[in-house]
Amino acid sequence: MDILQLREKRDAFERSLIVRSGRTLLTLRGNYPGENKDHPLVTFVVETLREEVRQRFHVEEEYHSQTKEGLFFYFLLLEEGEKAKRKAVALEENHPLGRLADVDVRDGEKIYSRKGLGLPERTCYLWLEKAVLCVRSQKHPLKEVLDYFENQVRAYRVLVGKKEESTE
Amino acid sequence: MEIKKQAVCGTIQSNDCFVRVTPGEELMLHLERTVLDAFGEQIEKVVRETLADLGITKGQIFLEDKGALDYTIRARVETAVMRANG
Repeated sequence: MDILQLREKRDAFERSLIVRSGRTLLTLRGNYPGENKDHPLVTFVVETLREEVRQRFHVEEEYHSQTKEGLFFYFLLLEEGEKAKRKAVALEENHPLGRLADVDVRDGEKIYSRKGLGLPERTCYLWLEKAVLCVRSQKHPLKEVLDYFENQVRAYRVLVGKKEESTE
Repeated sequence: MEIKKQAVCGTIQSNDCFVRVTPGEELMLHLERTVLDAFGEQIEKVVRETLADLGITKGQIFLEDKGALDYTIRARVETAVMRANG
């Protein structure tokens, strides 16, 4: 199954969780470019932030998937959508690995956006431009973006005093 | 290929687009560019080329863009049309 089919299938899964539970859904994933996002660096980032989500949010149920899209965690929350989105943005902005992840929030009504809440949109890894513009225009060579991701993870490991491990 | 019934493809997740096609007497495009107005012309070009390649000359095409790349737009339109043809 290619990544577009996987995304369509995952989107249906997310909607089914919301319909069944009536809760707000938070989806945690790596923000990693390319066709194969199932990479040890992504797993490290997502597993680290999973603990943050468990501490910062009122999680009622938790699920995960691991495909070519990479490791995903799905959390059904007690928080209502807008409050959850604000907390998700805070996690993306304040945690040292937050920039490397997408912490998305949706409920039965909509997928919440930063713009919708009057918050600044995310900027590119490498440029002071809105990330979505750089992605759409494919401004940066893939390798530069991958290097950025790897360097950020390395810096975080030094920060928290973890032994440098091979990620290959 | 022909749009014989309503069909959808895609999602409204980031870097994707959601496409809905329905039968119609003439070809009509409805593009909702919620992310990037700057790429509107390019999106329309890709949609029109994809439809032409599939031999689609009539039907209504609704597309909601969330920052999809060209290959994603192409793939989503193709699959929506195939589903509508079946």
